[in-house]
Amino acid sequence: MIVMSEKEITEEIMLRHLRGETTPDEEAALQVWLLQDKAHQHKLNQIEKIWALSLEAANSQKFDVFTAWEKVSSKMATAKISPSTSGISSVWRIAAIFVVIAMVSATVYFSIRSTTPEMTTLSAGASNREVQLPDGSTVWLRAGSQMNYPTNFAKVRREVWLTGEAYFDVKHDAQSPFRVKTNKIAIQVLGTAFLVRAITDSEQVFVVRGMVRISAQNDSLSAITLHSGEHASMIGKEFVRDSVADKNYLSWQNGVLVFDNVSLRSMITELARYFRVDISMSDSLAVKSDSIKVNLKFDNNTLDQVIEEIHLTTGLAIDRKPGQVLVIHQ
Amino acid sequence: MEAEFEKKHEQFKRVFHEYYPLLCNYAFSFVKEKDSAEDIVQETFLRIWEKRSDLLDNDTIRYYLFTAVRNNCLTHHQLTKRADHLRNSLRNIPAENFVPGDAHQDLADQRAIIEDALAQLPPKCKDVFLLSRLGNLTYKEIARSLNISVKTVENQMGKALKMMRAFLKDDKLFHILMIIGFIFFSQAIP
Repeated sequence: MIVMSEKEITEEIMLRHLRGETTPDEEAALQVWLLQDKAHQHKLNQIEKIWALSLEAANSQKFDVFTAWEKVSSKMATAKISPSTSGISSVWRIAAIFVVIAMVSATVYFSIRSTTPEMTTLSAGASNREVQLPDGSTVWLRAGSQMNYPTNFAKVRREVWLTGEAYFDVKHDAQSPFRVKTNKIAIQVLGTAFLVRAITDSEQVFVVRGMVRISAQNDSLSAITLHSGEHASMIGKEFVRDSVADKNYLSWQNGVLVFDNVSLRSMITELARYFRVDISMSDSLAVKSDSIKVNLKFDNNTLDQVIEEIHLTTGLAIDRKPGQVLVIHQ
Repeated sequence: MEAEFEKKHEQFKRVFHEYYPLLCNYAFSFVKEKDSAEDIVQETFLRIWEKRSDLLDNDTIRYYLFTAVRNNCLTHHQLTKRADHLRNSLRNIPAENFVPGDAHQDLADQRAIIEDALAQLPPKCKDVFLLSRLGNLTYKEIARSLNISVKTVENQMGKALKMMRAFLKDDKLFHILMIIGFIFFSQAIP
């Protein structure tokens, strides 16, 4: 038996790692290599940057596809489609009918072995919901969100469809990339923790831990990679990325609200959204609310505790009115 | 019958719009001229419409498009008798490319450097890299398209990345040596 020497981590292996295409051996060797030296992580980052830049570099010339289409389609009107490929010739048509019949029979007699996997649907109604996927990954669904995945999840593919908002903590499995699909975005991860917000037109991904690769649904060439602390939103057909500015994007899941030198107005808006109450300010206060800054942190506190804390630290009074309404005044 | 045609036409239109700019950039890497690149790509599409419209709802259409465009570029190349691209691009490199940059290379600069690096890759290396990057072809497809082994594809990808990294590092001496090394190397291989 030949003992293999330690596999050399080449640029090519690094590239395949970034695309989630390494073999388990290669992935393991790479992880070891990364731990050996900080410079190794730096090299990996460089390769990632090169890969990202190289698409624009390779695609640098601009071409007008619309004019080109006009040209080509006008020529198509005069071009003939050769008979052998234009329609289905009669021989093919008969074969097609047979195939169709065969398939129908197959589904009738072997319905258990249908090729379209049976799906499981999970939704969160009025409150947030924590679920475990068959592979050990955990998903927190925000109220009003829904997730679909093949019932045979671990065996078929690790793939879920999401509408709404969910926080994913994915179990690492180098052989089986975990994919999340929303209306507009396709996300691929190996094992990491991230938030996806796919509500109406706004689709965003926040990465807490690890690395994810996101692309527009029908355009795998638009893929970008996000690291922990990064965030991207889909604006039109493109991704805009930045580091996470809204510190409270995960508060619905972990109950932590951080207001670090933010305006009173911003804090009120956020609290109103989090507790799902209506908060209004007295006129005199409203005028000043942009310039008053607050520094507060709440960790899984009740609304009453929050009101108490605000009163103690700012001196502002908060009256609770019937029907989930609060009024703040001096 | 007409519905069939309409469907094919729609598919063709979609494929055209999706791949046209990428294919033109791919062709440009061979012919170095935008007009020629566009002519070749348009002609390729027309031929596919005329002779192989059956490929349109196939997943392998990308493979066929990129392979066909390359073949047509090489034919065009022969017809117009242009000099070897690598020799040309070396001769035309402006001096600035070899000036060591300062510590703050911002993103636009870096992309320009990668563009330079790409243009200066040895032909086969560049071809492999572009098929992967622009065409998004699998290593298997690239191997088949170029009639080489998958292992060679892996090596060429690694080589391309190495070279681009060297350019970014902006080591003047290093990348002169690399280019010389590559010329010798690519000439040594039949």
